[in-house]
Amino acid sequence: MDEYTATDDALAQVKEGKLELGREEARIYKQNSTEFWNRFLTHRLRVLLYAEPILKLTQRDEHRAPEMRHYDSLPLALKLFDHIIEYTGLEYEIDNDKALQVLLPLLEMMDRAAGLAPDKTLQIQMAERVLAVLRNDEDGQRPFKITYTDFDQGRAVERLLSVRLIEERYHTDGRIILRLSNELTNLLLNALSIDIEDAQAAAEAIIQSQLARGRLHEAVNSARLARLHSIRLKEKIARIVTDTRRDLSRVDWKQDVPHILSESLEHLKLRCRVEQNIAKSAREQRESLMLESEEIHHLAEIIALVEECRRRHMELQQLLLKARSTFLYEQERQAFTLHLRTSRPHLLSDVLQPLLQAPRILAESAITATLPFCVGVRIPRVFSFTQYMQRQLQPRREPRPESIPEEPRELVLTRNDQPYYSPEIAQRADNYLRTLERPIRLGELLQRAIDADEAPSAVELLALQVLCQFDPQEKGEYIFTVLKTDNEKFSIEGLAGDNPLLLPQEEHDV
Amino acid sequence: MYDPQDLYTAGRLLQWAMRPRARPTTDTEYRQLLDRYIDFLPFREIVCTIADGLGLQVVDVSSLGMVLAPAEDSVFSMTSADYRLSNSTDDRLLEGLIQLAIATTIFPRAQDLEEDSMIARPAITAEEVDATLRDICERLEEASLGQPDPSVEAQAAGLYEAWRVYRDKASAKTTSGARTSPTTTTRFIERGLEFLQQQGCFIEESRRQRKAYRPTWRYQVMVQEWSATRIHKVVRALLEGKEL
Repeated sequence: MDEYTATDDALAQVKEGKLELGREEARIYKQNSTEFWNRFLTHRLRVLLYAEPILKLTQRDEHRAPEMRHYDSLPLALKLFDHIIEYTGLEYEIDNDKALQVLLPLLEMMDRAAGLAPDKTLQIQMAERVLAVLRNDEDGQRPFKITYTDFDQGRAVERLLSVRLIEERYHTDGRIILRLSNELTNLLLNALSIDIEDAQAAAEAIIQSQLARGRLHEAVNSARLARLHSIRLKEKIARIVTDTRRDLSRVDWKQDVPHILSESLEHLKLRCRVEQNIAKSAREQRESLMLESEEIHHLAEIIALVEECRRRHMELQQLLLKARSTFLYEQERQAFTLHLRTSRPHLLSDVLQPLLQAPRILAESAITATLPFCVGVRIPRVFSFTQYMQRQLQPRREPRPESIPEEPRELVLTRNDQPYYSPEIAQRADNYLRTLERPIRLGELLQRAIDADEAPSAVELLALQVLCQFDPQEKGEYIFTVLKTDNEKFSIEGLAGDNPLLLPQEEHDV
Repeated sequence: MYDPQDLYTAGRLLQWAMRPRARPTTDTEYRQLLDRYIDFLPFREIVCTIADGLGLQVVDVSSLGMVLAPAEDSVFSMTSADYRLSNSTDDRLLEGLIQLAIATTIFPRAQDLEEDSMIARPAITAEEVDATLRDICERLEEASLGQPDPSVEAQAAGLYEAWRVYRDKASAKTTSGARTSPTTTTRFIERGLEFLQQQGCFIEESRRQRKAYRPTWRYQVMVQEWSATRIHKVVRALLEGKEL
């Protein structure tokens, strides 16, 4: 749609005397054009438009194959949104497969309602389609683009709204999980126009109001939404702290952050009190109900949810209280580099951020100009006609597997273990153990080996073999027994410990 | 008058420097030529003169190798067309932003660019590069809340902000058979890092069962001594509306 200036034209005609107006009409035309349209109307329009891709699901149902036409996509979408909200920020967030499983019972009920035998293949196909539409798979999971007319300074302007419903993200465990966009979450919470803190306050006020009116089902849902708000608030503050740890200069600690922190701290103090009151109020109601009452379960759920919100807020409060000390610590840690005068650019704030902020057309020019600096030298290839011809004229090598005789291989049992002690050393140590004639202390045996100028590794192995023989699990092939008869110790050439007695087998048997 | 043998060996040294995978530790001739470059000033002058004539600049030399950079309009200079990994205009913009984000993730602060290039910088993953870009996009998106949406006219004329292009591209997508989707930003970043790996700028390693890329000395020197200031100069000039 083209922009037009109806007001300007009318005013011009009035000024030129070509258009005669009544008093009321003239007053309207002389008014500032913003009075014809105010920004709150634009805001409401945008809220309405966010629902458009969801409502279009119903239109798509009409064009499905006959065997799938009885399925209604809209309730499936809402169930999916609700389920994603419930698990957002928790350990087991919803992935693609889980989302499909959630929808299958509803699809089966739709099959039955239409008098059809449930067909799992069709159900899965339908669930996949709903999910694909909500992710906008048709357009590579980009946001839905919706055009609408806005009015700016007396002119109609056609604008483009980007709407994302469900997005796929990496979970910390590496899985790809589903998350609702902020816009959709806000739309579902009916809180699109307000910020996180206000939405949180509103959600809790709703819970209190619903509790007072005994509307427990709604209270459960509201408590779930309140928990989601808590998670988002925590993520916001955690990002500030992480950025501070990474690089102090990325965060405005002079004005922005102190303001956000003190405001959040005040907000949290209030929220903790409110949540405590909600839990208290729900407990009181629970005590007044009969044990078998269904409402007791809802109240228990509300209490658990609000307690979780409170716990998350307490954690966040700790994070906020530590934030200033984190800043002071990081200021000290990064102080040297911070005060270092540097001629080098800050790639994040001097290059990347301005480019992302710039009009796309300008960013494209900058990318074309800067890319050669990022990727280094390109080695030009020179075409050689001679080499090309030689390659082309080479006789083709046919694979001839039969020309290489394949001999049957003989499998040999082998060990991959690399011995630490060489066979020679092992043989030297072995000789001492096989030639035991009388009971002897370990220390004496080792001393005998040292006196015979045996290598230190042979002495070490000798001690180890005796220890192995002492362990009932590790007994080797030697015919002697190791006994610890007393607390006598030995210490020879770096080896020290208990001094057990070694008994040749016959001696021991006697 | 230059000794023809010196001219020949100078050419050999430049050829070694242009091979992305050549290492002085394993290639004896390369190591000997580097020693000669470091020890003999006349030989150094010959190498620099030939490089200058070819449109190359010797950025740095150490026992780890020689780093060359192309002069403007050099036959050795990479163009966008050489690097192009996809045909869409959106994707080409993303590829460029990703290359800048890789350098930014390796050197997040101005002071990092001052550090000794012999100190190996930590390895990075595609997810970390994506986070660098997404963090900025989120901040800019937050700042734009309450502002009017871009008009259709501005959209057609490319007058909307570049962050919207990156934001609109998914970072993860589920595919059949648990394959990586080729159209996500994470995959684009991996391709960018693989390209740099072929250029001898990164080596691949595994970090907690995820693919990570460690910058080589060559890349660190290239960014610290040559690219960063030039990129900044170009971006500043363009944003101030000056002719390049």
